[in-house]
Amino acid sequence: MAKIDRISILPNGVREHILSFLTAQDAVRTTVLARRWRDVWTRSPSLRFIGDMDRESVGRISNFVDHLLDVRLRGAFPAPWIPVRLTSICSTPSATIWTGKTGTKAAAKCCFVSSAMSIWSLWPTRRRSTGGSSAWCAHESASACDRIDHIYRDHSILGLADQRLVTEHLIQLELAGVRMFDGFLDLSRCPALLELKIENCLVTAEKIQCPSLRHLSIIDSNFSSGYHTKVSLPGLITLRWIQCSGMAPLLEPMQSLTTAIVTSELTSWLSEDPVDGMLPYALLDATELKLSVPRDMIRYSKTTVFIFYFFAVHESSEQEEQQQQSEEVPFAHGLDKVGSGEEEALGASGSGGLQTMWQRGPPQLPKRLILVEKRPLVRPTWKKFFVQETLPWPFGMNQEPAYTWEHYKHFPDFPDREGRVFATLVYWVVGELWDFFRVEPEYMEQARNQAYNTCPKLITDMIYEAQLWDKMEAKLEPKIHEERLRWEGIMAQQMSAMFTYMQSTGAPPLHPGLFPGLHPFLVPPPYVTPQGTPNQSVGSNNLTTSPPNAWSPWHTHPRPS
Amino acid sequence: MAAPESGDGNNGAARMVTLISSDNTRFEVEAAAASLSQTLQLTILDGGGGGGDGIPLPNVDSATLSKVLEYCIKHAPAAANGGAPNATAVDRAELERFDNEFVNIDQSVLYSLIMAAHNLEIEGLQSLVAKKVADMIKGKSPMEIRRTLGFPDPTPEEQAEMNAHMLEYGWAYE
Repeated sequence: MAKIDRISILPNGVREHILSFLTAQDAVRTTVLARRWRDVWTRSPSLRFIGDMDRESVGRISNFVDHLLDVRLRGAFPAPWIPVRLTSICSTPSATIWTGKTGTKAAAKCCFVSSAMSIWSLWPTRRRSTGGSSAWCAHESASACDRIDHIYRDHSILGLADQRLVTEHLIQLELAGVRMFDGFLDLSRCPALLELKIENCLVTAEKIQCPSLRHLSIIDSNFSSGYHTKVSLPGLITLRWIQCSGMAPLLEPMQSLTTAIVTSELTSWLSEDPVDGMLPYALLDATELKLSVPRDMIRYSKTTVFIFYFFAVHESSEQEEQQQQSEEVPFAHGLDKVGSGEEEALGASGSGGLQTMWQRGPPQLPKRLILVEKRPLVRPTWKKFFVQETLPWPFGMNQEPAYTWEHYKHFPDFPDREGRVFATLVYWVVGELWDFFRVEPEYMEQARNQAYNTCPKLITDMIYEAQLWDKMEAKLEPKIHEERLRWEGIMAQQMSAMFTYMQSTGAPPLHPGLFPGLHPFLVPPPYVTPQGTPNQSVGSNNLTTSPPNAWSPWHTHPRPS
Repeated sequence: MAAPESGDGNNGAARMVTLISSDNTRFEVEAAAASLSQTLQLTILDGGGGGGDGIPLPNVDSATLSKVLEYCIKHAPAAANGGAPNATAVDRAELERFDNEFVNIDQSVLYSLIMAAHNLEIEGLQSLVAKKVADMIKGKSPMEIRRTLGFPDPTPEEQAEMNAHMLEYGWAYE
């Protein structure tokens, strides 16, 4: 009597489970063992392609995968595998890889680990896995860190072609050292996928998309520097974005995000470029947000006035300089210590920041330099702009944060630091920009178009910026944030009172003492008007003074009576 | 396989349950340890296995069951607090070391373990033993695997079939 072959009579699913711990090559080789083993590997819940990163190995894998495809095409096995094209950019032109699919539901159930465990790994490891089990066969959860050691950057890199991955049962996808072309990361056809790990990859996909994904970990990968990768993962819970280069992703809202860890190079997440440099708002809802970004970077971004990205910047004249010094009016007066403290705190490590030149302008207009702190300020520093239930709407509308141009149209203006009162906030924004935008006469027409066409779009961005900094400040500078909130509370109260007053009287308050909380705002420090004459008492008696120059927008637009 | 039990409702912190192997040996373990088994978990949640009446496990003999329980007791604390989050590196290393030694066993025992883990649905143990077997297969030629896994010697027909297959799957051996 021959020895009893106990392994072959193991229950369904056990052998498949065993094979899932082998490399694809080893798994396929078991087909020769005996008749009972012929198609076991095809039902394995996981197929791991492991090889070295060198040319030869890539070729070998490609070759291997080609043969797998052949077997599949010949119909030797029912259809548990789905091909995904794999192009190697170094040696062989193309090959095809199959993703593990647990086959039928019955098979998935028999695989007994979890209802449908499935791991597809593409781990080109430096050491061949034959040597020891450490490379990938170590404990699954604990070895994530170990694995990195075995992967190294090389110019030869596998490429996954522009083909979508379609698999019903794939739960976890790990990619390392591969290049993903556009479309591969569109994983919307993988309804079971929960976890995606990308390490040391070259991602040239325009979009990462997967409705079911819960955990995304992208480490040490390279994104395109030409465009922002869109990330549309509504169900994401944890996001780890570690040491990636290239442009920052555009994150779409993630309602259930709890943990976001972003360690990034300067240029990608918080750069000087206002579009590029925005910390995605989607992250701010994370209960645990870890950012590892140099402080001076934050400071720089803090002083970014988003709205002016589209506008020309001009060399500041003497008057402008004076005028712009009052930009931090709320902080400069009354709570001056808070204002300067904030600047210092945020700019602590960016000592050179004060000399930073601001070079921004619309594409059609000449770009010129201006000192950063001389930029005008149109940014919502008040809660009313972005926090609900702070202010009642004055005109019987529903209470709502003013975050669109339409809102601004309905929101009455109040006396600003020059004592001007615009008809609505819309005019205020345009007017403020206008002042800033006073360029040479030949650009007048362009400037006008810019101001009126671009502003509506910018309001949203401005609110975004305000929200952003509100949350950033809360996380980074809690004390300052607290103080500011307290102060804004007072302001909001006073604003509310003032609107009531304006509604009943139809006029702005003539005496600033009426609303003491608004005092610093209504009575700015003495400054030099554009005409060069000192204006001592704007806030008190000159609220509705005529605009100083002829092309100011509030001049050309009739005020509602 | 788990017989229906009358619930005694005793859900104390260190509740003990009694498991009875196929050769009628009784094992008393903490409910938390036994709950690693998906099969037993429900019974235990229903309050079974406590007091005098144990849970009979007709598919598992006492030697295997003691081995399984050794694993369960070792892994129960880690599983209780959700595994990784609270575990320190030392704990994990310790567990890993334990696992390595645990599967360093005779093949017949290993197969019994596989069967037991499969029947009792103990996820960690299933993976552990499957990995062990995978390690035995890894990087070997078919004949070596057959020898390692204790296949009977191939009959001439089988040998011919294997040879034919080897030709067909030659590409997998490059």
